[in-house]
Amino acid sequence: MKPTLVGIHPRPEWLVKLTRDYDRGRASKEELDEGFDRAEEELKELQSKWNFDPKVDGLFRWQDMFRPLTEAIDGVKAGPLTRFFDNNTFYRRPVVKGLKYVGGVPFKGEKLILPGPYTFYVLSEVEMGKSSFYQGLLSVYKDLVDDLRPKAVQLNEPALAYRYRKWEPSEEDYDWVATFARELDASVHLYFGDPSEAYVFLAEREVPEIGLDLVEGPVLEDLGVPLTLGVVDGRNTYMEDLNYLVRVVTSFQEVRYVAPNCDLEFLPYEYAKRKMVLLHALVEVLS
Amino acid sequence: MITQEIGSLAKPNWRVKYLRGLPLTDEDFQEIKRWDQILGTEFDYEILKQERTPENRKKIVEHSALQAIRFFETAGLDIVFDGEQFRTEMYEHPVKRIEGFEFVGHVRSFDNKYYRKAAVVDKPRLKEPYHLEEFLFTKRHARRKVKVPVTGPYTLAEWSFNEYYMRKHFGSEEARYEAKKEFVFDLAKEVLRPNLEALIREGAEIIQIDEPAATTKPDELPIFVEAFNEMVEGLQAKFVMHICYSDYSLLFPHILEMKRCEQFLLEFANRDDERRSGYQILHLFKEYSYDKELGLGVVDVHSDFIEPPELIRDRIVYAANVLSPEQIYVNPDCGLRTRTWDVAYQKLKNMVKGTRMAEEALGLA
Repeated sequence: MKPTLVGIHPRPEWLVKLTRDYDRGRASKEELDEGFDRAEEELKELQSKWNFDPKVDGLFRWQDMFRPLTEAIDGVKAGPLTRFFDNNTFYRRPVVKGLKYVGGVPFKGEKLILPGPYTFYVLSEVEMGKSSFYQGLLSVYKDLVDDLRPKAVQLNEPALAYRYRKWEPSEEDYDWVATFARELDASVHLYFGDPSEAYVFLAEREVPEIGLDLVEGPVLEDLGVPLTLGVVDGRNTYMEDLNYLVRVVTSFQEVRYVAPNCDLEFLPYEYAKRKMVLLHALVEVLS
Repeated sequence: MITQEIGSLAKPNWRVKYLRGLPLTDEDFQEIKRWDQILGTEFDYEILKQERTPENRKKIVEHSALQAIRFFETAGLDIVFDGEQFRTEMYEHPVKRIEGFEFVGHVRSFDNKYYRKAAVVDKPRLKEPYHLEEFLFTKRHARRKVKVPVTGPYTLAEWSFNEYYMRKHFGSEEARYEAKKEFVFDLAKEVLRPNLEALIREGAEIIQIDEPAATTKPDELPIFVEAFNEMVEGLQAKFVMHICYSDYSLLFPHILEMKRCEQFLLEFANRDDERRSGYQILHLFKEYSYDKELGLGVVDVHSDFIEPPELIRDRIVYAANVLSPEQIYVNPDCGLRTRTWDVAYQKLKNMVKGTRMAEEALGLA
């Protein structure tokens, strides 16, 4: 069992300042890129120190879950500023008129984290049929994986677990998510709400690996699928009790990874580090 | 139709640099002089070259506030404030003045925009009312009606990390709900209400409660509504509320219980297109027989695109035909702090022009 990260990492305070300076014309693009490089290196060092695996690059260059991915797809444009689930964070709603991979996604980690197809669909303005969208996106993701050659792929599917969702995923949607996961040999991470329903549907469809948010959702039955357990809260500075975390994790059989329940970008950088230390300690205790 | 501001304006460069102890350039001097000329304000520019004493720093803040007041007035707005020039921003300014909070670092709002986020680590208590200085300054200088924006209790709680109440209520979903409810109600009673009372004592007539986080967690809408009702009960002022970048359908039927809220000021332009998609939600307001005033956002605050008056007219006419012209107040989507003053000024001037055109189109002129 290893600890792993599952999403966008918060920018360190010095990078917050640098990106603000860049926006105000007080730092150059070159300085900004050097800053991103430095942040990626620092995060990789922390992951090495605390045995995180597979390593992520922190997605420091990403503005939200979709950009710059959407800039690498011909036919997709960034639309209006929209609330990102129940967070005080906003994203540009993608407007999808076509789906052709043209390249240009920055990637320096081992694990490539992408928006899951269902979440991409419900969080976008899609001007084509649903099947065409899924087919087109799968083709984009295959090209992307061929291009970037990651060691692992993770599809983030908060829309399948979201506590307040106004949409209802169909059998067809679950079929497609499972197809993406199998064809890309990807894990599917379920968060921002109770993942139990989606967990069952995806386990039935033989998804290679599933990530569960156990902060928002209840402790679930083990269904025999390799798991990533999201046990520390990526959205609150409150530090979980280690003994409580041990009890949660030991109730499952096939745990590959322990992780935050979601991206750590909702925390300040120093608190994200504390959560990483807690995950490291958890694995140490369990091993 | 009444036009109004809704919140913050960018802090001018000369002000930011002066307060941060940075050297001012010729461009900074040109900027302050140019706006003084446009707005008819005056300032002793020697202060910008002098030692940065507390007195001088105060004069700098006050002059940026005076310019902001005139900025709105010269653009033609009927209801104004000072562009929140006395505040860092809408969250940090109040939280700094409440005991029980500790700032823990920056988190991202969107793109390269961040806010300093605090954790509540003890029961919140108000140190002293924190909007009086700016309100009294604005009241003294404004030539138009004044509306003072105040960040609401639900948003202050939702934008903070909840450590103190989580320690009391850790575990189940119900416990988390209780932790939030107690936090919001403590803020409403112990922090916001004394602030409102102090403002009203000093003559505040219109108070805008800013609650952009209102719909963030739909099952907590009853907390948001009850906290507002308790906060304003028995207070003598006109209360209005600003909410933005949210799914407004979630507000119903809850906001029908907010009897003391006379107007909701909402963002629409950000999500609009040539089919008036951004304003379709107003049909739901109609379905619920919404009969209060509506502050109609007609200007996108996150784009440099200067909306032509004709576009603004069309948006207003559309909304007025769904509801009724008497209900409509006209404003930008949100505070214009992310735009330059030049862009913001053009947007507001066109907003006023578009409003006059809408009045004509609706036969109200």
